[in-house]
Amino acid sequence: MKRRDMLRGAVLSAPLAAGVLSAGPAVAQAPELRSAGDLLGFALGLKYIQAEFYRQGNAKALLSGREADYLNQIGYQKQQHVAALTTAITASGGSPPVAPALDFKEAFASRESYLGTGITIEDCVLSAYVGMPVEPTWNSGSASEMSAIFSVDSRAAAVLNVLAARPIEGGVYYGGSVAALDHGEVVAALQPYVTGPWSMAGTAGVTG
Amino acid sequence: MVMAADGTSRIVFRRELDRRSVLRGAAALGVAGAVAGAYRWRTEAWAQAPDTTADLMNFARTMEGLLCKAYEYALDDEDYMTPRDDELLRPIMTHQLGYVEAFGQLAVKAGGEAVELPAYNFSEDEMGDRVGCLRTLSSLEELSIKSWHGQIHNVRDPALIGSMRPVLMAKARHAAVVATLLEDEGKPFPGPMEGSIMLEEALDGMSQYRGAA
Repeated sequence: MKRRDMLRGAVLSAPLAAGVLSAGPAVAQAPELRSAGDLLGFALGLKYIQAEFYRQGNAKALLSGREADYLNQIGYQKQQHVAALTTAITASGGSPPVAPALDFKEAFASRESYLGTGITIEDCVLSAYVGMPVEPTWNSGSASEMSAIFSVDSRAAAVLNVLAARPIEGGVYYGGSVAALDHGEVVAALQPYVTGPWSMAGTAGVTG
Repeated sequence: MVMAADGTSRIVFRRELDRRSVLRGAAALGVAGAVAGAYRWRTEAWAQAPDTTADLMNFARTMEGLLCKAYEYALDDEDYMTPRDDELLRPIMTHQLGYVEAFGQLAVKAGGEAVELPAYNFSEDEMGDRVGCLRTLSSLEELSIKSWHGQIHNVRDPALIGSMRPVLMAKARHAAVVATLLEDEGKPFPGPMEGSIMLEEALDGMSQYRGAA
């Protein structure tokens, strides 16, 4: 069965099921991301941004108590993701992409702006994952590892939304699903924070 | 994903770890009974391993059905939960209903049939107050997520993984939110990567809630 046929088959008719399982795959696949190596490099590029965002933000001490503890855990986990993906790319004979120069502008002006920008980045990264083509990572056997990493991002997105008192639906949750963004949409959404060259695909050696 | 003793992590590529080998591993652990097409979520077949896509969808349907019932139980008594709890948890229950329906439909589309959900029992000892309910819900959410991450390489069709990604991501949101309601006791971020469990462990975790046949 071809992918697009499967996707049509996944469109469900029952009202409760509508939008639950059909939301993810309805996304244009970026032609640049054709191999597992491309995808790992793309993922690492996203993780660079997240890790640096929390490193800078947590240093500002804008939060306290349990909130600060949550954000410190999130920041630590992003660093672990960077390390894991870097190791995976290197171990497969590839070269990790270079971390881009970043400027988060007014994100650290206040607690609210920190949480708000964090939500923007987390939701974008999650949607990037949902929009990634599946076949290369599935064929390379790394689909479950990628899922295990990005699922943790989803936890961060939810907690940030709770801390920021965002709406329950359309903030903390999105109807039991998560929207997809394609490669170009992700780059456009995160580009405002990138001040230098951004090579997301890298030259990873893993082939799909 | 492997976490080393020094806290670092590395990704282990599983090109060689195909679905068949996973099932063999499950059999060695006593999960087995992997009779093609024979999996049904009935009490007498509680511990049979999924062997087809339809089986996997029915496993998901049953797991999410258990969670759905747990949320119903917790939210049924107005005295248990705070208004904020209700505000955050009731949408999850609605999402769970959608998952149960959706996975049933996918089981049918995959050539099987949607299994009838078993009866579930929740004890007052375990879910007799707010904290007890939240602990149970948190435990079940984590069980569900780990079981899914342990089953992903059992999915034969990569397109189906793509279909399930949004659900897996949404479920992680649920788990984190429930954990925050447990305040100091809760762990919204259990680790840098989601853990995974084999089917046997998932079934064990679910079986304590199995009601009378």
